[in-house]
Amino acid sequence: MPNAVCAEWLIARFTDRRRAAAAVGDLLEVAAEQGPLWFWSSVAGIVLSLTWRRLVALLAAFLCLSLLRTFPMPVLAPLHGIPTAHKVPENWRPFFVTLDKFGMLLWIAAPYAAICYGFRDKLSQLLLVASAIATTIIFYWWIPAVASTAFALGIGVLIFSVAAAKPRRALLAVGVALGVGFCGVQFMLHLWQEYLALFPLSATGFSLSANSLPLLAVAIQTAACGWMHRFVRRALQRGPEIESTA
Amino acid sequence: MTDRRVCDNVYIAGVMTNPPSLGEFEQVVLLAVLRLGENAYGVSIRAEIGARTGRKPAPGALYTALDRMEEKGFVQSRWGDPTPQRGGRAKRYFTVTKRGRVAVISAQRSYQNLLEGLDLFGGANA
Repeated sequence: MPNAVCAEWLIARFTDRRRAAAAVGDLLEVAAEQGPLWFWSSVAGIVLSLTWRRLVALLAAFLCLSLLRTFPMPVLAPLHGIPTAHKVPENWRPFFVTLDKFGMLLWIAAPYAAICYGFRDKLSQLLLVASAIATTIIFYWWIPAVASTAFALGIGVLIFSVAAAKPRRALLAVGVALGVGFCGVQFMLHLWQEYLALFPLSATGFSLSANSLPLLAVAIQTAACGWMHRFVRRALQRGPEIESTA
Repeated sequence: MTDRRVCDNVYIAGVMTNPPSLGEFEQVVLLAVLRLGENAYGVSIRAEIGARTGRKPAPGALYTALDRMEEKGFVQSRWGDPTPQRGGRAKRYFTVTKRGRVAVISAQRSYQNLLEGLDLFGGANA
């Protein structure tokens, strides 16, 4: 008899414990005829089918963030030799610095949600639209027509989302997910500064922002997206009673 | 007609105007769950699909499809009692919800509409 406890533990890493137990119970019923090789290949198949989409989504989120970081942001104009005309005015700097940070989080969250939950999902749709608007404003703020259109589109999406029930939940979920991502990354940076104050590591040449912060940001933001997606799903499933009755 | 029945028909009519989409494999799984009635769980669903279509789906693909359809509200699951031949593990039974039924009916109607007037067993395309 195959080691069912080990198989159950393995599957339970990627789904809830009861579902893992039921799946292993099913496999055990058939394994008596099919043998241990079939059992373990089926366990591997279940693990793969539960994880492949999330792994691809995590990779895509990391690649998108890395891609965004290769473009010099206008808010950092003096540092990257960006034309002076594109330099953000001093009184707008705090707004653009914040928008840049949220833009980066959106570039993590949008591809992750689109791959994990599909393009029809309300959370994915809202994240993709928000990331497109934020990116346009960040990089083309200095073209008045483009910036005003993007602002108007953003306000339109906001009004539409608040007006209807399903997009409102998605909007709330996006807001909380980005808030958690933002606070999480800021908290990690704060912890890192505290750590550096206690144990200076400058001699090693290790920089959190260059080496680990993108990975940490992806981990925090995608986890927040996952939680909020579950929240939206649960809220939608509750819906009207007639929808759930068999 | 009872209030409940009227309510159901209104719901079905409402959903039919904008039916939820179903993949081919999802339709196969939903139809197998419908055929099995109260006894639809992983092993029996796989066996039913194998017996009716001649192809047995991989357990991973089946569980992922069932989870996805439960998230979409097409099926509901409930827990059975633990049995010794399963190492004391409970079965997870599935039933098709009203939303799932409507989705299958809608998908099958689309196929029927496409097949209408076609002579698949004769003529130039045979």
